[in-house]
Amino acid sequence: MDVRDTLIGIFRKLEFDPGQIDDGTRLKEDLEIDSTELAEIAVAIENSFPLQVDDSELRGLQTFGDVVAYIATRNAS
Amino acid sequence: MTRVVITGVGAVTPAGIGADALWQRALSGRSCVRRIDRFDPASYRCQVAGQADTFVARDWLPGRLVKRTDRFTQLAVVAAETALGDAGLCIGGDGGVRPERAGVMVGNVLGGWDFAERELRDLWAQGIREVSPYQATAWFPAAPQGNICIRLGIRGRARTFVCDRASGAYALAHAAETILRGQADMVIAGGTEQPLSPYAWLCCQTGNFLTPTGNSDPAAAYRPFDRGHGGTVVGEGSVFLVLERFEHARDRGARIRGELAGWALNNDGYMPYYTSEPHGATMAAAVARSLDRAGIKAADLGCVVADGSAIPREDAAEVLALRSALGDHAGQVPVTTVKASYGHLLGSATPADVAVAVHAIEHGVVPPVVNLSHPAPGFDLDFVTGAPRAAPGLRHVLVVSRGLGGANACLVISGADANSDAGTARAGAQIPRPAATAGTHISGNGG
Repeated sequence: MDVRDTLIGIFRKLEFDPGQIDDGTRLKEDLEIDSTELAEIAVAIENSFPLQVDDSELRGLQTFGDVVAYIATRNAS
Repeated sequence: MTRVVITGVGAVTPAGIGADALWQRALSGRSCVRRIDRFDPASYRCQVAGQADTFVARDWLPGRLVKRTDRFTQLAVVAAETALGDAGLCIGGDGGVRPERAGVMVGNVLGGWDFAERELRDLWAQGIREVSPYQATAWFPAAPQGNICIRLGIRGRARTFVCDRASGAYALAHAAETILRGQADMVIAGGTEQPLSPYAWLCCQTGNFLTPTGNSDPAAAYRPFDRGHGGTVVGEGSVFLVLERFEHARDRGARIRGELAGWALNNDGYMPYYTSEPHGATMAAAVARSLDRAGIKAADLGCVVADGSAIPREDAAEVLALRSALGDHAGQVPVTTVKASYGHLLGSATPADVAVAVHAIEHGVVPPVVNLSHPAPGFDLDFVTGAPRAAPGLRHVLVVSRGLGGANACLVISGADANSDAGTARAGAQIPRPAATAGTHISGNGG
């Protein structure tokens, strides 16, 4: 599956506007995602990919592209 | 001492969106109470309610706010914002209220059970990982207060009051006292409630105050003071008022819609627990103190907006209280209650009554009591029934509110021009002043 497309679908379901998101979009500064919403995103990723996601690992990511890369790396291994 | 004026009203209720919809429904003499369709009510004793069906949260609020809040917060945010718009006010910026001088006071009873029930179900059915991370902040009764402050940029005093059906009255009274203490120039005060979920409805049922006899004819179910009264009907909704320090409103050229001229809070303290005084003496004392604080007498009162819960023992106690407090004028002051038009809105009930009082004064009309066909024996007050009654020159309205366990809260709403002298002070109970300002006390008759 295409990781980016699936992640965009997750974000759309979580009420983000996909038109406002590209790889360089910053999670905190541009999308104003706080720790609670990050926990919601972590669970949504777990439900779409065969992964266990630790919220604290997501907290270290800066951009949407970083999240795509994080999932792709974990997915491949 | 300054005065507390009303400069904006916002409402989202079973009557529709906006304070005018609430007023028109009150005038209509018809109830919009209906059979519940938010869940299957068949296994409950009371199967009817007031539903704010025209309010769709996503029409008003961004999806990312809707997903993290219960409906009772969504109702509140929209009602508060429309109240602020009605007042022609903004927070911060040029011409706005300074954020630290703006406050929020909210009355609520049940919190956000619609959201919480779903998450509890997921907790037990699927485990903790499936519980929404927003559960804690979505359910708790102070969620509307927090979200209103965040969205509007309010940095001043914010409180939530939980006092059963008197919650909204407490919010309004405390907002007024906050302004009189010099702690705010403006407070958005009101209430919000969303009881239409299976568990919240069960809480209402076990409270034993809902009518079980209205299911076959929902519009006729809520019958305040009528000999067919058998309990209350509740509804969802939110009503907020903008209360403002008089000088602040005057200096910005605000349209002053009324004044919160007096209030009094007390408690029956009556045993057995969770009952109220059958003779209404303590409520009568609250009525008297609120009139006194407003600087008026019973003869000056143009109308009473009664609590009118339609719980028989409460209706009786309220009639006795009003008869006692109004004395020789008891038979001449028109009495209405408008909750039957759309349901008892619990935390929003008193703010809705105050909104109706403001309109009644503005229009010189007292709306009728819906479903009051035959007053119960001995209920000999001058109830307004059938059609609205013209009340030219209506200036002062008493709003009565009460909560489980014997809480009594009375408010006096006066017309915008009822006391046009800004220096006029109120007789009666004064808020204790800090020692530094004690020397500036003004005394006089405000009537």
